[in-house]
Formats: sequence, structure tokens, C-alpha cells
Amino acid sequence: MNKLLSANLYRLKKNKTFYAGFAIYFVYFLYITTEFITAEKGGFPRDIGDLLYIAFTPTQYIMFFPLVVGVICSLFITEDFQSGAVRNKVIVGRTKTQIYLSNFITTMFICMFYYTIYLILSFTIGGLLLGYGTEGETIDFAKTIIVSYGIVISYSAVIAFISMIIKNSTFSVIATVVIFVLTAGVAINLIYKLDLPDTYIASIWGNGALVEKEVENFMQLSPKMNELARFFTKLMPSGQVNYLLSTNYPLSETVNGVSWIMLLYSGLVVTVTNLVGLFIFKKTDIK
Amino acid sequence: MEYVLETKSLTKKYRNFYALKNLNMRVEKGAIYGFVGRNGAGKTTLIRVLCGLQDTNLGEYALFGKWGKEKQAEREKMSGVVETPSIYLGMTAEDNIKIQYKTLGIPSFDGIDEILKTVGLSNTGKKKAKNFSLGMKQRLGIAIALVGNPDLLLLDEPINGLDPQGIVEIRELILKLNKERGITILISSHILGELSKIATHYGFINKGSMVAEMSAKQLFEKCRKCTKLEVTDIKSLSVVLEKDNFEYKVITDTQAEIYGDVMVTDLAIKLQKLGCNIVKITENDEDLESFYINLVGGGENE
Repeated sequence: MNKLLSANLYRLKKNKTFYAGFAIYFVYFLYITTEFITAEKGGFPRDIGDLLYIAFTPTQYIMFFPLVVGVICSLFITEDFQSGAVRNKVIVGRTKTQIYLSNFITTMFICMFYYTIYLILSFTIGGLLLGYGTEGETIDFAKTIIVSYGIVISYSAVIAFISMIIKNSTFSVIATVVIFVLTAGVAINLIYKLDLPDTYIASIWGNGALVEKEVENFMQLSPKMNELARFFTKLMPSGQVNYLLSTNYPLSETVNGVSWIMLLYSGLVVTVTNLVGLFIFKKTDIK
Repeated sequence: MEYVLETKSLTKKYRNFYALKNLNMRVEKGAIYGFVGRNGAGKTTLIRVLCGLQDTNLGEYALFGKWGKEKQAEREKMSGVVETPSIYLGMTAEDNIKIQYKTLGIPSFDGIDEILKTVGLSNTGKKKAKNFSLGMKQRLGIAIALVGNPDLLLLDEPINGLDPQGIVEIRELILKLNKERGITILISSHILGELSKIATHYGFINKGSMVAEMSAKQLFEKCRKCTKLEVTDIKSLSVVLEKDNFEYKVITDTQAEIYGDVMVTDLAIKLQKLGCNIVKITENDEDLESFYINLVGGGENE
């Protein structure tokens, strides 16, 4: 498998889309930093920590990181199938398992590379411009980064899965975008439902006048559904991103309370996705 | 006899359609094996199976004498170009070859220039493969296949879609690889005329089954122009043919095949003088194409 990885990395080195992605990510970083500087001027203090939470998305609604790396990795992996070059690997004896896993590792490498670049930019330019936060935040930052790497790896597994199963560049890119946007939507919706208060103050007409009364929130999920929603938000990479970003789940709570569970869930996503992907890939003929 | 490739009852079925049906074949070491069959006969399926791109439902094949799981280790000694050349279009010829070096785990890039020279792509420089002509792409596909000095090369319809110049180039390249590098080549094609210029052995496939396997010499004998004579005295016929320096072959004690143009009247007069009569004359003027059509049943395939 080392030989396949070496071939993939050589190809990556020559891949213009890979460098274009780097440029896009750099511009994205500059955009976020500029936004934060503007916010600071408006009286909303920002520091490097804010850059870390927002690594994956500029807003709650658009999944920047998964979409950019998803498209780049999809194009890279499916090029092997589109060009037929994957045949050169099989003919000389490389197994389908080796091909699948080497492509997953390459995808993981690309995703981790982009995230690492973002971190380096955050800790250099970002830190210098926005400040490095308080001393007490250091551990939380470290934990956030560890959880983020877990998210990055689960995204890689999903991207590799989609690309290796679909094999066609166009369809693979479309499927990646659609799946990531949909799961992001689902995650946002679930987090919203989970964040709903147990009760709310309602104005009720009674005794000839409007009275304010605390009533049960009818939109709240049932205990069973609540448990299920919590499970999925921690399991899905997009859900984990939202956990990191959610204002109702402060960083300290997230990293101390659920970060290790999130890492475990990331491991589960990676294992299951790769096993299912491998099973399907081994069953299909290579065109 | 050393065989680099052997198959036993290979069968590949898609629902009710047999792409390969109990196919048996043997490819001798050093041969250029022409694999002949019309479109849809099962040529590409067989090559895909041999390349490990597809599984079979039944049957088995050996690479370099190794059967079962043992053959996987032999795959590094083989290579191939299946259907279209497997190349990264956004890369140069050299980069494409380098990637195959990496795939095979060859530590240094030594030999790339020689491979490019062998296939006639030395001067492509930084030109991307997407800007190559079809013939150049085909040659680049073969160049990639040559990485690691394979002993067996499988080429699926390598001259399809090429112009006459391209066909000549690929033909010469195949001959060169076989003669200079000693590579055994299995080449599938439905263009019989082209195959007949290079193949040393033939396998004829129809509806997924091997109809006949023979050497080029045997095929030449079968397709050679000859006059078949049935006479009352074979010895007299031999005397006349020897005297007139005819190339001939006695088949039975009354039948012989005479190669080349025969003046039947002259021959009949000479035999008459020796008291020998001609009973029957038939002429065989079958070329490779008509031989193949007769072999697979022309009417059925039209």
C-alpha cells in the first residue's frame, strides 16, 4: 500500500486543483480574519479561539471546509477511475482493498493538510492580528483542535466513500455537495431542537386580562427523540461542527463534556464508512 | 513447452448471457498471440478477467504457471492496455510513467528515457497527454505498461480508431517489444489483416468460447492457396510433381495438395501418359477472413 500512497502523493504534487484549494482556503482565512478585525473595532472582542471554532464554516449555514475539500478530494480520487488509470494498479497486482485504503489515506492527508494550514495561519497571522486569548483557554484550544482533527478524518472517510463508490467526477462532486449540505441542514435543525428551552413564557387570556404564564415547550422533542437527536448530532461530522459552534454549548462544556465521545464517534464513522465502502468497492467491477 | 498464460473453463455470465463460456487457452512464452473474434465475442471480457479487473463465475487461470492465489504475486510480471489507454490526461508522458514507477515501487526513475524512446515519445516534453493524438495516447498507454519490464503484455484492440500511420507504428512497436525485449504479447483484434502481419499464434473466439487455437504456421497451411487432387495412382502424381518442381503434400494414398499455380491440362496430359487418371480436383483459396468466417459460422454472425 505504501507504493500506492507514494504514487498518489506524486500525483497530488502535480495536481493544480490541490494548489487552487490551498489558495481558496487562504483567501477564506483572510476573509474571516478581516471580519473579526471589523467586529473588534465594533466593540466585539475576538481572539484566536474564535478562529479555531470557525475553522469549518464561515456561517452556521454554509459548510465551507467540507465543501471545498469534498470537491477537491472527489475530483482527485475519481480522476483515477475517469482516466482508467486505476486499471494500471490492478493489473500489476494491487488489490482493491489496498486501492480503497490508499485513496482514503490520501483523502485524509489532503483534508488534514488543509486544516493544518488553517491552524498555522491562525496561530501566526491570526494570533498576531487578533491576540492569543487568555492562558486558561490554551487547554480548551488544544482539545478543540484534537476534536477538529477527528471531524476532519470522518469527513475524509465520507468523501472517500462517495468518490470510490460513484467513481464519476461530476456525480461524485454533486453527491458530495448535496450530502454535506443536507447533513449540515439536518445537524443545524437537530441542534436547534435540542437547544429549545423546556418551558417558555406565554401570554394567556384569563380573568379578563392577558397574563404571562410559564408553559411547557410543545416544540421540544420527546425524551426518546431527544436522546436520538443527541446521538446523531455527535455522530455526524456536521453535527460535531455545530456542537463546536453552538453558543448554547460553550467550548469548555463541549470539549470537557463531549469531546472524547465525539472522537469516539468520529472513529465509529471512519470505521463503518470504510468497511461498507470497501465491501461495495470489492463487489464492483473496475471499468 | 512453457506457458505464461493458461485458462481452464473460464466462464463469465451476466444474467442469461455468457460473455465467456468454458474458455480454454494457452499462450506460449515468447509468442505474439492474436486473439481474434468479432465485436462482442468476449475478447475484452477475457482480457479484463486476466488483468484482474473482473471476476469469473467459474474456471481458473494461471499466470506464469501459478494457479489460484499464488498468481497474484506474478502480476507484477505482466501489464496491459485494456480498452482505452489508462493515462492521466492532465499530465505529461514522463509524469504518467513516473506514477507507474511509484505504483510498482521502483525507487529510481532510471529507464524512463529508454521507455519513451522505445514508444517514440521522446520529444513530447511538457506537452500534456490531453493534447496527444490518439496514436500517441495509445503509445503512452503501452509505455506505462512497459514500466517494470513485464514478461507478458495484454493489449486490447490497440489499433482501434488509429489512422494508417498509427497502425503501422503500433505494429512495429509490438514486433520490436517481442523481438528485442522478449515480451510475450496477447493482442486482441477483429482486424484480421493486421493481426496476420504480427501474430505467431492465434486463438479464435466466438460467443465466449474458444473455437480454435493454432500457430501462424498451421493457419498459413490452412489458408494457403492449393489445389487438391484425387488420383488413381499417387506414385505417378508424385513423379510428375517432382519433375516439375512443385511444392506438394501427399495426404492419403489417392490425394495430394499442390501449392502454387497449377496448369491442370498439362498435368492431366502428363498423368495420362503414366496411366494415371484424375478423379477429382478442388481448389482451396481461403484467406484469413474467410477461414475465420467458416470457423465461426458466417451466416449465423451476419
